[in-house]
Amino acid sequence: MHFDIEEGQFLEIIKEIIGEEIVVDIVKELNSKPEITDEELANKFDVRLNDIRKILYKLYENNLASFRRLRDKNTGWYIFFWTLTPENITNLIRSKNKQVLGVLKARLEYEKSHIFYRCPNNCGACTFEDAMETGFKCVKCGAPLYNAPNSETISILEEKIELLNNTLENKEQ
Amino acid sequence: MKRVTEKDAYEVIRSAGSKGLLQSDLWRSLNTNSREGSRIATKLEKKGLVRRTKELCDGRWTYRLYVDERTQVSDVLWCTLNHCPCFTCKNLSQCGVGHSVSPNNCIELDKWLIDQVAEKNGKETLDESEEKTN
Repeated sequence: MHFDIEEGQFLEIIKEIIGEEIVVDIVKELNSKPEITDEELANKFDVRLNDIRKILYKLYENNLASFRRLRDKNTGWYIFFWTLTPENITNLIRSKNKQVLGVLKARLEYEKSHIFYRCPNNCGACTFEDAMETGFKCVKCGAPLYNAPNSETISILEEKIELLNNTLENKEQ
Repeated sequence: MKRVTEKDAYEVIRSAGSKGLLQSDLWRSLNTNSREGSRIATKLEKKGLVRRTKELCDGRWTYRLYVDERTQVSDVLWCTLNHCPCFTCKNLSQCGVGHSVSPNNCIELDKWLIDQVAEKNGKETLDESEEKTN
């Protein structure tokens, strides 16, 4: 396919999503051949077969790789032939953006509808209702909780939601 | 009959360039049948990789296929909102209010929001001090 994986942010995105350094080399190798088996990849990079499979399944989960399998007549085991499908990256990003947008909107709603209290020892925040139950004392360290206004968090969330909405609209055009 | 992949079909359409390729020519060049050719072309169109326009050829209706240049990887915008952890979170698809993974009590999201607020305040104080010195 004419997708140049070196072009744009493709490799960067893959690395961030999969979260493994070696995925870049694996993707390059997959892209250089029409099909490749997991065993060939494991031998090439001198990585355990299980680790290679884990990365390949992560790519598959994200629709960035596909496979076909054949049964080995001698051993009776399946041989998996893997192919990179980089063209699905646009759909993947679009769906991730939509999912994150939903998460941020839910969080914004939560922030807007609650009053928060924080522990001075950075043990975390809790809502007014939870703080009432514990007598405005931290559950973890017992320190008295203080009222933490969340107007800044709300404005950050609104800003990010707007940014994400704009990104999604640009892509839909 | 040879097994034809979407990748093969896409490559053939792309090599036809801006003038495009008739769907009937596609399946002939892939050495397969019209049913398979139509199936693959529809799939590629659904994925937004190719564009199809109806065309009358030798008294029969067919489609002309073009590669949609908008789908090149270089056009992909990866905006992670200044490293929002949700983009790389493996639980993103299960995340929701009332679920076991919820945006309301996610530690990673909390940390990111605190960092964002701190960063914004830091920038503002920096701007204020710059204004004062000016």
